[in-house]
Amino acid sequence: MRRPPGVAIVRGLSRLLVVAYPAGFRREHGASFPLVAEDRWRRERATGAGSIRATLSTIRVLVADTWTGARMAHRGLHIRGPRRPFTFDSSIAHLRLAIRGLARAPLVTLVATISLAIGIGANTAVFTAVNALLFASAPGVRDMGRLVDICSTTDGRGCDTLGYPTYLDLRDRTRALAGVYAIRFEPRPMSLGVADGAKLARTQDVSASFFDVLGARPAVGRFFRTVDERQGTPLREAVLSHAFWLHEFGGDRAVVGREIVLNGDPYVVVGVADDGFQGTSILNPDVWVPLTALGRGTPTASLLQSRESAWIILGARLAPGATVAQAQAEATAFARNLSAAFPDTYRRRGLAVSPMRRLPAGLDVVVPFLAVLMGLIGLVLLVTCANLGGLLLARAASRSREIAVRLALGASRRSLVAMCLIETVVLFVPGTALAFLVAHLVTARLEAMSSELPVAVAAHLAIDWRVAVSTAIVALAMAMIASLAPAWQTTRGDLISDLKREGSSRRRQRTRRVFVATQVACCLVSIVMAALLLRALHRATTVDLGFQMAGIDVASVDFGVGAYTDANAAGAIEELRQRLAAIPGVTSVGIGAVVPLAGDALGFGDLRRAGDPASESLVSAEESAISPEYLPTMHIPIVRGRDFTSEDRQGAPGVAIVNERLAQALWPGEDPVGKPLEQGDFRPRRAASIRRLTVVGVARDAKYEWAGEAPRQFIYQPLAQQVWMRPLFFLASPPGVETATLSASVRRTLKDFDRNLPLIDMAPLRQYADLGLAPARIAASLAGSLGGLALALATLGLYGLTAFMVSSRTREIGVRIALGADRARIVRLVVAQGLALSTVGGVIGLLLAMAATRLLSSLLFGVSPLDPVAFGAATAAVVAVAAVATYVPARRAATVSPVVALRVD
Amino acid sequence: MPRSAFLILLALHDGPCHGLGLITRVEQATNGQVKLGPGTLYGTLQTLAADHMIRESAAPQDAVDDDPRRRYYRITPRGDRALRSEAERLRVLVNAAAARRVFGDV
Repeated sequence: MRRPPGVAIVRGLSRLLVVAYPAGFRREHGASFPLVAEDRWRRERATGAGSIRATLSTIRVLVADTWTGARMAHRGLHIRGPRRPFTFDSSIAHLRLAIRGLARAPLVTLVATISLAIGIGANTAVFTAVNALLFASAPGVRDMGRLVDICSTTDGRGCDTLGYPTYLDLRDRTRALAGVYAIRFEPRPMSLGVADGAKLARTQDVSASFFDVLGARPAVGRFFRTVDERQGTPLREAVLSHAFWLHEFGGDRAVVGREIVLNGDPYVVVGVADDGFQGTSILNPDVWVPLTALGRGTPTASLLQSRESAWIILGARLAPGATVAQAQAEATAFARNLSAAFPDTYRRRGLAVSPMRRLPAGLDVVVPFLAVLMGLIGLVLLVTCANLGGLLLARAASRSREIAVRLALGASRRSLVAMCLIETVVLFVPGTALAFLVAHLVTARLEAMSSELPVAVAAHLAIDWRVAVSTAIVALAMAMIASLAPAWQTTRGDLISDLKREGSSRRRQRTRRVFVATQVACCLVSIVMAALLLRALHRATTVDLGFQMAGIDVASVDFGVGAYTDANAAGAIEELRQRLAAIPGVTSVGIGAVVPLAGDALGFGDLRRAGDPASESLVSAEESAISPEYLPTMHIPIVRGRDFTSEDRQGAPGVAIVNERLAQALWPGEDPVGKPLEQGDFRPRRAASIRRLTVVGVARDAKYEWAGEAPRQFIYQPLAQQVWMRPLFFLASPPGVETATLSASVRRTLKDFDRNLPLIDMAPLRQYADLGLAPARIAASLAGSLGGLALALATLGLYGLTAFMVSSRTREIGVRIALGADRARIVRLVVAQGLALSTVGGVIGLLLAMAATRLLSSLLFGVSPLDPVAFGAATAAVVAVAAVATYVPARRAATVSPVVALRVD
Repeated sequence: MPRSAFLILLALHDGPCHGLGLITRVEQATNGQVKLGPGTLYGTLQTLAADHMIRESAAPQDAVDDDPRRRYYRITPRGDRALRSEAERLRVLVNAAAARRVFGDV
């Protein structure tokens, strides 16, 4: 039986705590500890506490118990005399002492407060974001823990889409699942008819069961009904998202029952989803329509019946009492039956059932990105702690005399340690308060950034107080350790030498040095990462794209919306192209199916040299369908053969233009022009799907999906030989022509041409490319700011420590000056010592960075993880900062007047 | 005598018992005020055994759920004496407090 998480936690904790006991005791009784811990938890539950409360109070009992129990086990039972009580009065006195002490050292207090605010604040913000993206349960979904993802596997691996008939079969036969739904994964743009033209609505096709399985409740109206979902009958209903309803319909409840027009088809609005509901993923649709709507832009009847096409993903809710393992076993048996019934289609295929994740499979690239972010933020926290530790240590050292006096006057060590601890806690209060402000600012910035992402992501980033508190606890624990070390050292100190003030002990200096070196090392690692990401961004924006970016505007029109058929669309598209080309200021207009660098691509599937028997020689490529004017408009040169012409139309022999890379892959060292290639499904008995194309030209390589990509294999086909309802018109115009004026003309032209055709989008090509670069830009700016933070923190720490070292050596410096050392020499001495320390830290940091930057390589656009420029620049920055941080106090040291210095104390 | 030792002796006064059972008895005896953790429990048991105040014993005949791993303890005459004298000491203290109307009720 699975244990509740609370029980697992307390059992784990009790196992950990056993370490505090002597070995013999552990052997004898250690095994009982988890039992007792679990028993305690259940007892708390039995008194009516919730599981979180029970866990917390069990943890409290366990921790307190370790304190008494471990001492008892180590020393045996003693009947001791009365202890000095730790009274309220004495803690108030400590508190006042602590506040006074901190007020007397404003620099330390300020540096600590700022470090804490930044460290805890930034951590909270990032954890909040990660939490929202990966772990938080989806709003409006009931009991997310019982939901599972079901996807298709090949030879037991992978997670792919499925066909619609598979969904129907599974839905009707399952017993381990209480409900199954199917969705087309990505929200797709559809045009929403409005009074003055058309608007864009992100639409997701879902099975009628979608809302019921998720346990969602409508804010208004109802959801789809499973009984209405019949094969072959169009179900033209729509459910609006709450935000879309407010924005587009002003929150009008009468919208239910009204008709809206999507891609030219009428749909009846049946309901509005609850506020915040967006399905289970972080992608955020505006409108849901049934998979069986059979409208324009929604799946066709033949797609719904096809077992070969895989295009939906499945989600399901476990039946009461069923486990994921049972569902998996059932799905495996189901898949086996399928492959027995349809051996061709389902060979090597299986089904995988796994607990549902909010991050859709397609966004897996986000995970390494977040990992890097977490790593960086961890470094910032480490620098913060090193800062605090260093400061507290320095402070403790500077107070060694005070403490020695207190000890000599009879203060107990216990109360001195308590004093140090209370001081640390007091130091924490303003820092933590400020941290919430910082967290708020950073979260707001992150939310603003998410709107730049190419997909509509709606993860609401409310600062999670649990995250903030746990980060503060981590930092407090580290600071406690940092402050206990000096407290321990001080109270064990040699009273006599401390009273005589003979400088700080060797050990104490070593500890302090470790702190400085750690700081420099952590800081260098984060700066190197930031520098690498910035370099990568720079490379991505300056790389040779292989086509002209400036002066090109992209207008996207959806012919699927109007009254066009496969037969007459091609002619209409060409006619519109000619009209657009006639707009004054437009020099040429080409048509393509894909916007380059916008981050998406059309897979062309497998292809091979015609006649090659072996299926191992298959090559894959991405494609675009283009008009003959496209390549000249984009300034992509043909290096061999010819461009497409108007003769390459429907009915004429199939032709293609390949890029140099693909030519090289298919016919190394040969002239590809005139050679035939085949494309399609090369599995046995699929020969009918294979098409034969003749290569007529070779185009120069360019960047296709995004600027940072490695060279790709790419193939162009004539638009006229395809059925393509969403052409993109690439308008070239000379410098000085504004997109705004051009877009007004385009709109007018379009209205004259056919007033039902919406202009879906019109934007400069550069804007699309910027969108494709958004992840890189976000990564670089985050890493840049975190690196900057680490640098600022380390500067503060270095400065504080050097200043302290100087002040504790005032007397020595005074003696040197009195004996005739010149001031430049003093400066050199102090700076050299500071720099030596930074160098040690720097070398460690560089080694760590070399290991760490490998993790970044997926975000680097081919910049080497050991890029010398980035490493050099980062090192230079840290060295410069270290020099300044040590030079300023050194200057002060040099101006020490020997008379004053020798009179110190 | 530490509180935990007193309470465990008190719990064993009712008859032999195993570790988890002792926790229950102590909790009941103190109206839920004292929740013994594993370290305190076994630490105290170990020391009490070392002082010969308790000793391990076989499971009593009427034990219902016989898990062979369970270790039962019973109080020794010496432990009984220590318990009585400690209780007596506490009674003196409590009486002294009661005489001064320290307790709020009445």
